[in-house]
Amino acid sequence: MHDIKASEALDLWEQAGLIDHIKAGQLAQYLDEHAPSRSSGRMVRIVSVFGAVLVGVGMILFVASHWTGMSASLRIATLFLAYAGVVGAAQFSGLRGYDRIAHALWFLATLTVGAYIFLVGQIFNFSLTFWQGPFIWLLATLAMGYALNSRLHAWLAIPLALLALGWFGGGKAWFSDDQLEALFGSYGLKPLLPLLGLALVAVALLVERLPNWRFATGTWIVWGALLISVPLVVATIDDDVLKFLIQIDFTSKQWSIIAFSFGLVGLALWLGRFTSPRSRLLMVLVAGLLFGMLFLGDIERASLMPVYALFVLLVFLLSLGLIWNGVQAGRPALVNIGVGSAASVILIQYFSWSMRLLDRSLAFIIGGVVLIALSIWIEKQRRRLLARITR
Amino acid sequence: MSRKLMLAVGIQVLVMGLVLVQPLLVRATGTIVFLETEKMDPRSLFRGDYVILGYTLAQNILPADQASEAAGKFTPVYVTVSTERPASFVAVGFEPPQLKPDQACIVGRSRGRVRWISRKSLSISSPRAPDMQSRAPAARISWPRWRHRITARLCCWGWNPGEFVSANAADLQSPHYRPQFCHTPPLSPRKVI
Repeated sequence: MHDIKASEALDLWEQAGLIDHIKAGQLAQYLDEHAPSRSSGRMVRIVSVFGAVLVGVGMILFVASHWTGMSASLRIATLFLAYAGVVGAAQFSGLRGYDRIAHALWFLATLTVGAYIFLVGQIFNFSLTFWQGPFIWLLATLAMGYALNSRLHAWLAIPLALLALGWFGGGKAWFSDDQLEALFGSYGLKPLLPLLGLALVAVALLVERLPNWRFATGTWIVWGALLISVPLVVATIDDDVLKFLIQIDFTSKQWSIIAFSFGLVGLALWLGRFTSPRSRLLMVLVAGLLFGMLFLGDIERASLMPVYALFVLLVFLLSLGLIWNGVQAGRPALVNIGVGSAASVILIQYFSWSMRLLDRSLAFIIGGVVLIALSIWIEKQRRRLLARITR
Repeated sequence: MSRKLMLAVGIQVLVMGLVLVQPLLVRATGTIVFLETEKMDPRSLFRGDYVILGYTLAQNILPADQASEAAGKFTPVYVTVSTERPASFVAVGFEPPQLKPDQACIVGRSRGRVRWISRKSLSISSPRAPDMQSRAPAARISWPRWRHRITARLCCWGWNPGEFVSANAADLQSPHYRPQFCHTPPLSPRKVI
């Protein structure tokens, strides 16, 4: 079938003389009454989710402003009541047929569980790297996501999983109470983020085989692609940045993550659903690149430059591979991420080289022209590719 | 409500109950110790002007080389204290101690060399989380309220005294912050700000 708006189809048929103007009007009216447009539904969903998040933030602020005046048991009771109220409202909305609003309220219920966990953590002075908090919140999120087949819950699950994994085992720095060390320290997740992204893609390909979990596939593939591409593109800024991002201590936790991630990739290559053998090959190549990157940290500063140049080239090729894979798999989000990554690599390289080789004013003028030309070309290509997907 | 949705709500309620089990169990069955505290650092990245409290008796109880080594290897440090009020230091080691009836053990971690504390110090981290190596500082109190010396009441918990398993802390004590909690009376007030 052609992917075309109903109004455009009616116009086409009217112009071709297949239906007259009155009939076209009747058909349009029937569609309005019996099949409301998806865009308005999506709008309702976005607005209601945004509303749910605002209510959640408001609840936390309300509780926080009265926090010191409440006893521990009253605080816990208040949080429980808030959860019960949200669940009741979600159920009521569902029964009245407001499915999208009910969906948003179920999401709010899951956010309330998270707020509850961390406010209880505050009551009892839990550690600020309280990894059990995001972990059990993750379980609660996955349970609700599974029950509702909710992509929103699948989306929330990934930062929670990263937080639980990062905080697991604690850290070593005092500054910021170790909370950010899990992400920025060389013993934390920082050098492993692209690998974790690949593992997430592997999980997504595996869960696609499970009908009840298929709802999460697209969301997790996009998350995985972002986790791979963002650190890699950032690492192309400079060889110092590359060095900083790949510096790894090889702690036992990091080795466990590496082994587990490659295990998942192997399992996905064996059992996962790929659109073509080339997609499988792309995954092997990315896994190889990421494995090689783990050992770049040991390279001496002086001999890093050629490795950096090769790295930039590989990241660019990987971005093109991501675009191709997005087209093959019919996933516009992957095309967008790939286009964004490729464009970022080109721009980063342009500015880093032009500033060295050209007069500054000339660099900016040429840079501006290049930017405009590049954006026109990218937008054309992106539209062409997306049209190919939706055709 | 579908069966799957009911199950999901049940899991969420279970999770909410689960968070309470450990701290309530510790409070019900743990041994109370009272530790004097001192201001370690007035700032938190996320909370602004807050005071991080360190335990006074925890400072300089490890030799410098051992403190650095333990910090580098994340080795848990077992500090034995008395249960009198305020607690006094008994022993420190890297193995779980054999406790006498009037003693308790707190698991902490050596800070080693840190950015703004020049001395080698051992700061006993908040041992409330189930893992024994939790790292966060013990307690926080709003900066303007820091007027008096504060004693922290910790609730230490082990499966049996011979084989110490874990330690858990309870409430921060301050007459200004939470008047219902106990405060070590004979201590002379000192102005910190």
